Amino acid sequence: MNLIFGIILGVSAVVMTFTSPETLLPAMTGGAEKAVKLSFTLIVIYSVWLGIFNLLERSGVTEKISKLISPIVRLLFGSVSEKAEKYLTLNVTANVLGLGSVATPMGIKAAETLDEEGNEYAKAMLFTIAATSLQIMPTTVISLRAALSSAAPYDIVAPTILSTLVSTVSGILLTKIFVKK
Amino acid sequence: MKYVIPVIVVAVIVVAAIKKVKPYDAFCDGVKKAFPLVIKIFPYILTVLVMCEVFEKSGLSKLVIGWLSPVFGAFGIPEEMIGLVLVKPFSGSGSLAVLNDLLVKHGADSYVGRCAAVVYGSSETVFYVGAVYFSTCKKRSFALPVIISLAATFISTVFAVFICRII
Repeated sequence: MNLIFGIILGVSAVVMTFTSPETLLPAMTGGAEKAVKLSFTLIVIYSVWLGIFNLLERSGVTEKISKLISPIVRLLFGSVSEKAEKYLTLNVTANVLGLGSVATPMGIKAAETLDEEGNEYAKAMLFTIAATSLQIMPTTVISLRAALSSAAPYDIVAPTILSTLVSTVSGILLTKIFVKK
Repeated sequence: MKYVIPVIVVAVIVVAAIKKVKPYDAFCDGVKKAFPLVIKIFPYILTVLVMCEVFEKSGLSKLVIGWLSPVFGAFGIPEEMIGLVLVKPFSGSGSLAVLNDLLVKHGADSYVGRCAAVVYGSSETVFYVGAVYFSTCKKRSFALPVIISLAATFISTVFAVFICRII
């Protein structure tokens, strides 16, 4: 990431020095502003979901869900600790249900736990599954198409599900091939 | 789909009552973790978004799109789509703006419009997900997973362009 950041920011800054030096600072603060807005949105979303999640955990529901889909989790991630498995299970479940906002805090927790345990393979798999999107209902796209007077705004649902399956499956396969366990 | 959330919330409350969990205390304890979590990931989100914004505003992203257009063409990806395919890994709101442009310009039911909708809906903001998911990790060795995710996204884009031609 240090390399990517250094190159992209460095080259962009050099280009802007010649083309439009006065726009560099507004661009940087503009990016920062987006991050601040996003953080507030995240605080709102996480507060609600972490509250609900804690209720689930106290009630012992998360443990039951973990047990139910642990074979799938083990198949994907190999052997992981009990703590990591709990977060991974919730992350995958939420991702499949299209609840991205629930999946993210669980994903961060899972990555943190796996990082402490030095499990690079499971970490790579977790990221690939999240980054290849498992969304089942592209609600934003449907509403956008409907707003632009599409005759059949829903006709992209089937191809979208197929494409997202293709990306997730190829991501899982590539991880299995290229990342050492 | 709109019933998923209400059903989950009702189920959570009912189960908590059965298990005799104190719902108010449990909810508050959960909320306590929200602020520290966001504060922890904030520097990383900000740095990535600053990078993306400068990359776009410098015109460099457009230049890169120009270079890549013959490569994408070889895989059957229409030239109009290249902007979307390249912006999506960096910026969710940015790619939504690009999608909107394409839908307005080519029509929501055109081939390009449908392709764009499918590609947008079936891919993720890979760099953003990376910044958030790995924000608390000490070993930030995520070059390989990012490359794998981008490759998988590219494969599904080629697939999406193809399937929109048939369906």
